[in-house]
Amino acid sequence: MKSAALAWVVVVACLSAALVFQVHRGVKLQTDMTALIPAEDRDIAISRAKDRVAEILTERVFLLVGDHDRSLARAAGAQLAKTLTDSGLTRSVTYHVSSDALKSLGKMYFPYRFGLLADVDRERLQKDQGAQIVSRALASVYGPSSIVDAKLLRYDPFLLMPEFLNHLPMFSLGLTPDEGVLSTAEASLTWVLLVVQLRGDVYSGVFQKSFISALDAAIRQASAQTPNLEVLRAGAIFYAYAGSESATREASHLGAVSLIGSIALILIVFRALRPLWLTLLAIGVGILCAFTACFLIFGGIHVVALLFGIGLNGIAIDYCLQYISARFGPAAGAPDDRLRQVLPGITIGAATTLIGYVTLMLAPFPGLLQLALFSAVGLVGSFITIVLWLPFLDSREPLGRGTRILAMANSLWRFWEGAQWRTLRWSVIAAIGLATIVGASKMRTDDDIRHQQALAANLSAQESHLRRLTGVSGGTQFILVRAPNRDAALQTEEALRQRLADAQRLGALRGFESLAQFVPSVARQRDNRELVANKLMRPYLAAYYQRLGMSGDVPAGDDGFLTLDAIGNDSPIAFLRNLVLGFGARETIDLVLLMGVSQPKMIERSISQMPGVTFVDPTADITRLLASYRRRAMILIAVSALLMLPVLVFRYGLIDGLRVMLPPAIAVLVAPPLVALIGVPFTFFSAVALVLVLSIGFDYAVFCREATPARRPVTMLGIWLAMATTLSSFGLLALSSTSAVRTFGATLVVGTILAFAFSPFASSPTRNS
Amino acid sequence: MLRNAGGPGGENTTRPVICSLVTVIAALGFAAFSFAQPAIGPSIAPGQNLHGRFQQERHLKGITVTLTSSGSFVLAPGKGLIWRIEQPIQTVTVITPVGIRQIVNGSEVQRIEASHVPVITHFYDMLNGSLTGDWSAMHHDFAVQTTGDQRGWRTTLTPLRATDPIVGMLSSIVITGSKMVDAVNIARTNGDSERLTFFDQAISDVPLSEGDARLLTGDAVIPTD
Repeated sequence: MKSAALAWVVVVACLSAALVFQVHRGVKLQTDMTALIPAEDRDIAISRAKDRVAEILTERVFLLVGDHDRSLARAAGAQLAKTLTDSGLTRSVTYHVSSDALKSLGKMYFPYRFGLLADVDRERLQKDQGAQIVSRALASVYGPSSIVDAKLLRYDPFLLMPEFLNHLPMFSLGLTPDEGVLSTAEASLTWVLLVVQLRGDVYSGVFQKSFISALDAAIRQASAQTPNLEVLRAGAIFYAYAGSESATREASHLGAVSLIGSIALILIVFRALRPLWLTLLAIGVGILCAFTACFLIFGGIHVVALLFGIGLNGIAIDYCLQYISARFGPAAGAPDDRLRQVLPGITIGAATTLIGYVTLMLAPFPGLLQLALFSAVGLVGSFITIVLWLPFLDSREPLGRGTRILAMANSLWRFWEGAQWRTLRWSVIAAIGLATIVGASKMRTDDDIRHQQALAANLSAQESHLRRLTGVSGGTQFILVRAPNRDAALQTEEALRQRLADAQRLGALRGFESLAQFVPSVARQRDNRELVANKLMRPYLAAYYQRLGMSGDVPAGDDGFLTLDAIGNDSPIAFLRNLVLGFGARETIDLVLLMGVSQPKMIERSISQMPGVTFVDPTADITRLLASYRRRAMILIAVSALLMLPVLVFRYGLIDGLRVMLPPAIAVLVAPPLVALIGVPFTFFSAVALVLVLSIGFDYAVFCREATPARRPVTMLGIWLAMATTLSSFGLLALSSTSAVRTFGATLVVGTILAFAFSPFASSPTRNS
Repeated sequence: MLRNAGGPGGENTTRPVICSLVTVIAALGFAAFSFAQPAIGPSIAPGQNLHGRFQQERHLKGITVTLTSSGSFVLAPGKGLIWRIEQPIQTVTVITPVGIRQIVNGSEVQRIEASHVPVITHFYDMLNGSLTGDWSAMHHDFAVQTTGDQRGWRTTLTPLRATDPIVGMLSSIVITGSKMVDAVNIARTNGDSERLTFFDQAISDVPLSEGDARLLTGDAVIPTD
């Protein structure tokens, strides 16, 4: 034993050294909830498209800088833009809109103007309503809002080009260039816009911290000169940062409260310091092992795995308290004897728990793998510490006092066995049964990923304010267009555009962006030219020119057609390149981004008949995945219970083994309906909590089964304390701001109480007598 | 979304539109302003409106014919402007805080929403502000120089910033008048020019006609004239 204990000292020392080394190199804390979900898309194009869209959306940050004084707002905007550009953390900062860029857009389109028609004009010509276009042109020539000069009348007599430009989707932006800066006014405030493209991993804690502190410093600096400056921010990085901040804060608060709760309990019950630091030692070594293993294997840890992992690791306290409680009573014996008394119980308990945790690895969630590894390694580390170190470090003196505490601890047993409690017993069982039935009727599942994540309210408010001012609307949904070649893809997008415009009128979405809105297909351009020549120029031009005192022909435009190649790198629509996903000899793949989608089903339906078109809703896909993993986790619980059974049958035989399974089974089956009573939905995270409830239930049941009638009070004290510490940790989880964590916590708290309450059921009646 | 790429909000096409607007607004705004100056004439009180007739001669460089149009207008403080061309074609242009609409033969052929092109709001403020004596919006874009007195005066508006994409297209606006504005001469940097002559002007306490009121409230029903 002594040499084994020494060997464990060496192992722990090595692990500590490895951990220190790793922490020194920098710890990567992952916070993206979606990172917990496996890449399961078998369609490579769709998963690449999702990555691209995520990249486009997450790397972008919008800032609105506002002040009552226009020039102060502009000065602050310029200063902020400069500071951010100089920080080296951004790929680009757009503040000044160059008028050259705008001219280049006009220049790009102008040669192809007769092939470019606004939808309304194309419709008019198709319906032989060219006269309306002529009237509009005349109204423009004479009207107070005249946009014409002689040159324009010569090259574009019916002013088709301005109409086309005016209908480009970018003009729906609620901002306008004011001396080269995109601005908008709200009451007496002038807002100016900065668009920042980040250079770095939005989900890396280090990058988040450096960008956000650089931004905050820049804002502070600007505010020093402009005291009333207001800044609105929107971007994925802010949510990611707030999420990791609050998770870290919760994790540390959780740790602190759980620790204080457990310390208080142990001090009150044992009235000695040694049990306390022995417990802390066992748990601490476990967490140390768990951290080191996670860093060595994964190179980092996800905050959710960390949050749940510390909680799951806490189960080691069950075994620790069983050993420590054995010190009570006159027959306690020396530390080695005490360990021998509890060893079968805690070994079987730890073995079943380990089976439960390892079963988690069967679900191919990267986060679950981390969680399972963290908890399993932590459990083993703590268990070895309890068995090898605690007897050496423990006091040889038994705790003679504590009769009252032991009697109290044994009260649960008396409640289940005492004849005088018979009526109350059945009433309690009936009440729980009734509540279970009522709860079961109220149970609902909720797999929506958006409900699982807490979004910082302050950020959401800023974002919706910013969206209201700019007209920029968000969304992660998109449509994937696949066609044999470029023009076929554009033609598909033109057909798609019609349907999306219809859906937009019906309120299914707020807007969309596609290549075809900016660059019509060659087929469409050819058709437009014919419409213009046959339905507009030929019937109306001569009379129109005569009326204006002009003569001669309209100079022909370019013979060729506008293609994507015409879009230069510095063009204001260079962003369109992002929408080209694949461009090969055989297939062209384009993205159509959708904004403000409120009725995804309607959109999906309206495009379902179109070949080569796929509606993709990444959020819905994650939700679907969560649902399938919720179902998978339920199967895992059954599997882990079955895997635990052989251990029990081996020790207790079939009938008694099944009897030991009764309390955990009740806990797992009854907890979900009971939490449903308080409106907690059943989610994947509830299922994970049930895995833990199962392990805890087995622990308590095994301890009870192993206890001889004489040792029952001591055993029950250990279980009482174990339950109390579990509740002090997970009771706090039930208060978390993250719904996923809250669901986990609530399910666990109720499950643990049930597992505790029914644990004496595990003991067979023959042993009772 | 894609607007990040320097999304230019409709400057390209709306710039000339706004430029023309600013000339009219500046002229009429100034006309109203002149009433608002106690030294020059009476101002338009809330509920009142200014109406009259106009003739516009537009010279486009490179076209020998003078494009002449005539019609009537109504200017209602706080509500907007209705500019009705009767000759040579019938068109109605309505400028309100919400935006600009152009109506030909009873059907709307163009609409520019101020929410899309907020600079319209700025120019509308210029118009409305000057009606109520708040001249600051006009001073933001123009240097204003006035000579003469109530019997005959002449004001020259010169763009303050030649590089401004909108007012920079104008070289000058010269407004002449006595009790009311008589004429506005507008010269543009591209060599085009136009002359607006106003007559039969009156400030009226009579509420707007139902059709006009509807035009200014942006009602879907659009009268043909």
